Amino acid sequence: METKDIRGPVTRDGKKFTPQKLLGTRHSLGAGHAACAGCPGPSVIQAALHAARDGLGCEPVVAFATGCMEVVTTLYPSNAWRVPYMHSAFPNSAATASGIEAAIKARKARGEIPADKDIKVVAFGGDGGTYDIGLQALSGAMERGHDITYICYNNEAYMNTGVQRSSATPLGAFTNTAQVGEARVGKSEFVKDLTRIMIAHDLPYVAQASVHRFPDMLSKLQKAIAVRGPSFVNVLSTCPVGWGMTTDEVLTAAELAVECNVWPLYEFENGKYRITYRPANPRPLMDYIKSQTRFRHLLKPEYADIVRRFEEYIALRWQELNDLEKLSQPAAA
Amino acid sequence: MSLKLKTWMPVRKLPPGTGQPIMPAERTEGRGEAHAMTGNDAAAYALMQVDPHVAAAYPITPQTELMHKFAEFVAKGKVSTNLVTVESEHSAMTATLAASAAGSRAFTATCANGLAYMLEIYGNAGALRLPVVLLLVNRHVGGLLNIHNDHTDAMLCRNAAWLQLHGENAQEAYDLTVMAFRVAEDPRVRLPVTVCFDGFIVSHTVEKLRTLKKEEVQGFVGEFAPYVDLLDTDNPRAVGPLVQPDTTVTFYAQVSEAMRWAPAVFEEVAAEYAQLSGRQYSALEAYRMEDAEVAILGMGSVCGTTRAVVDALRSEGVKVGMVKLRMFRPFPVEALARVLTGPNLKALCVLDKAVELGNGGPLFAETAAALALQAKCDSGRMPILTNAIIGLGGRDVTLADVNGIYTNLLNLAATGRQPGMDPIVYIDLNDDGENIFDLSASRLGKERASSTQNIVMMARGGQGAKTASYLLAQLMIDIGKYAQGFPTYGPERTGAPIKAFAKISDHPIDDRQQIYAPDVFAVFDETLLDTFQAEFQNLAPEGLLLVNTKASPKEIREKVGLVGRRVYTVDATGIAIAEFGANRPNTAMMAAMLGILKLCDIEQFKEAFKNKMQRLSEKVLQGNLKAIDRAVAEVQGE
Ligand SMILES: Cc1ncc(C[n+]2csc(CCOP(=O)(O)OP(=O)(O)O)c2C)c(N)n1
Repeated sequence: METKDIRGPVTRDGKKFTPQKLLGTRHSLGAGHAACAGCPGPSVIQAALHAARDGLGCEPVVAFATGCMEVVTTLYPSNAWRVPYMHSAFPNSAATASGIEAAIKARKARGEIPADKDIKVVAFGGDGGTYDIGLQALSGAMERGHDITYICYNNEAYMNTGVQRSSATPLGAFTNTAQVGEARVGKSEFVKDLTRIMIAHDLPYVAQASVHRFPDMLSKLQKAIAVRGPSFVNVLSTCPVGWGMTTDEVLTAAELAVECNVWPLYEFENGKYRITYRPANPRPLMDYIKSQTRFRHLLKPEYADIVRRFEEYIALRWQELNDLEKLSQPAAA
Repeated sequence: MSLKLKTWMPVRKLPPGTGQPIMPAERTEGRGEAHAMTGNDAAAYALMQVDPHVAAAYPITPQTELMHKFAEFVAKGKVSTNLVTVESEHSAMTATLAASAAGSRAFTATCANGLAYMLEIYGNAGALRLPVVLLLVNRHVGGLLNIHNDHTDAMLCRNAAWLQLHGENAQEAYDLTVMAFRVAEDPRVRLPVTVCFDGFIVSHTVEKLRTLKKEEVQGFVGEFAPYVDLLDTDNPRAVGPLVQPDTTVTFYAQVSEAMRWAPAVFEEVAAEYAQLSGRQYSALEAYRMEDAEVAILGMGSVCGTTRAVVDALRSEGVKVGMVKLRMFRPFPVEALARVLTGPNLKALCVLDKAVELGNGGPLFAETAAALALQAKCDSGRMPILTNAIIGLGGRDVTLADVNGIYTNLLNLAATGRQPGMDPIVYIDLNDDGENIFDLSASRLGKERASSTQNIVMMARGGQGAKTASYLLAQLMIDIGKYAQGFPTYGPERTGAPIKAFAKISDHPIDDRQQIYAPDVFAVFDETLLDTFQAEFQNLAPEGLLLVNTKASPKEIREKVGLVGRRVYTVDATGIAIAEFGANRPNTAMMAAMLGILKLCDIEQFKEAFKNKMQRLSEKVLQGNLKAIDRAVAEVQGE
């Protein structure tokens, strides 16, 4: 069976954009925001906006959900944004983006702004604002087909409010609302695979990226923003505070997530799956677990069953993804 | 043509003489085990003891720690509650109601934006007569994102069939939470109850309270007796119908009648609770109102600060009083009117931590209406009325603010003139030093000054100043003193300058203001000396400045330009790094402080440290204990 592109790709033209080209380009997020030392969140934002402005030559307008990155970039009277930005609440980043995009269309139709002015609405949310409370608005916006790129910077818990579980929190992880004790094992459910849910919306472009593989992330962000229609990128963005690690371990932990197949890097483009990075020798899950104190308890023998279920889960997903990729290839003649 | 007025449902008579209780406020700690806890922990503790069937909640600052504590009880198996960690507040309230309709005792907790998000379902709870409990850790909600305290969230939900109670401190957060279930579930009421306490000011302040035993609480709340039960499949009931115009009024009339019963039931429940706890509660508390000529009416933590000013002014012979409203819904119209239309009262200021922009505060509007009715019906008397919008968006409510209000009221009382139809003032920031109201200048203040220490710690986020303020307050309470420990909060991340406060006294501490003229400034990070330079001049005459530095006291004195007072230094960072390998200067700083002030024996501190810091590894713990000894020995001063 061959997967088919049923939407048809409509994209902005872009130059190939490399991390090297970032040097000397305009900063869309100014220095001096109040993010914690080591937080990779601002780099995700920075990369996306570079891709839009310098890679694709369009003007981004940003919609944001309440969360760490919102709080640290707009602490009144400071403002770290050098592109237009709007935030109103936690659950509605995608709806904010919908409204802005509707206004672009309406005002172009009335000739109030030039028809060829390429404005792209880029919406952001943390995993809480995307997987949980914002899912309804996100699903609605994507289904309506707005010209919006939604980027989830996924640190796998509600960090702004002090580390509570979200549906992106992995099995077994300690959070303050899913603690560890005689009666509980940390988070007792698997993650919700939001990337698959977004693929089920039949979007022209959906991808999973990680902050530690910058070129891969950048190229996915650019492809997503290039789409003239809805697109979604889920970026693993580690958190030293919530995951329990030092600031210099932030990228290593992300790397381990990918090397252990916990967070596969892949894209879904016009109906086709492609794994963009395949670990040469996948590392055992334990390497990942050992890298963060939120999993500390899982090292004890009594939690072996959780670790085993975690392993089974990632093996299953990895296999499935490989099968889907195979299906995406044109059948041999 | 005659107009026919149709009455609503016949209203059953309330028991005579009840339902509108006023109680002179007495200060009794009552019985029970003493703890040092934050308001959030106190409410979580009460909920653990009630052990409801179901809880569904979603995180939002400053409610989060309440749910963290509760989740800890769940993880440790201390409750059998099924905690549902929902994906939004809309679902939190929905799941709570649904669990209640399925025959369960259930609660949720939220504030501000979270409340706004659940508001659609909030209304359903009352109309459907589902007796759930909501803990509302008050925070600002409005057009602006602000995580700090005021009552704009409580006022947002004031027009629903819910009871709304306001606690002043951690003790009341605990007691009202336990009582709320009983009142809600009483067959005469069967309405949900919102228990409010002030975000940060109460939720994040460690202070002293007393708790009942779990069995006592269990006995007090009793078995949950559902009146609808979706699980009773033999008697299927439909919950949540579509109502038509002809039945809508009937529905609401019934709810209204239940609301009318609520104060009487609250009074009964409170009387029973008093038997158990020794602590008396009423809808309304009159404090030193007997012969008061001017008074302040407020809700929540401002009442503590106001009480402290009343005591100070009274000790100077000034006839001031305070009325504390504990039950905002239903609004105790008669009781309020009775206490505020006495023959002596000449002027009243209503404190509102919320505002209807363009008009005054909601509490003011309702109080004015109640007084006008009472004046027309009965006494004909009415005090001069003013309204202060205070503490909006977390703006600190200071003793000086409250004193200023009393001064203003006394002036108005002297002239006897109502200041117009629009007697509203916004109490805003005054950073020109007017924040300092010297309690110790009063006779009472002088008596108490010797046993009081007010400490300000200045640090960077991550250096442990919050922990230090908590630990210090806990330790002092453990050795029989009264204390408050609380940090300042903001969205700042690791490394940003923060302050933490500790108030210590032999007497109960009512006031809730931050500390502006302390007895001790403890600076955890030398680089903050410049940041806070201007404040050091406010140090009390005998006060001390303690700095974490390698420099000598003399060098520091010169650097900050401090004249008189005492200056101490200790290399707390050096000690911490040497003894346990981390830049956490808080243990050594606390030890140095305790050593200088002689607030307790250092061995007591070490014991307390061991108890509170069980999560530390043995090696780090031993390192900390060594750091304590070294700091006491190495601190030097002049
Ligand atoms: C309706 C509503 N509920 C709760 C909150 C409180 N709140 C603000 S940010 C946040 C968590 C954000 O988590 P996430 O989206 O994962 O982003 P992060 O902070 O981790 O970057 C929460 C619970 C809110 N602002 N509004």
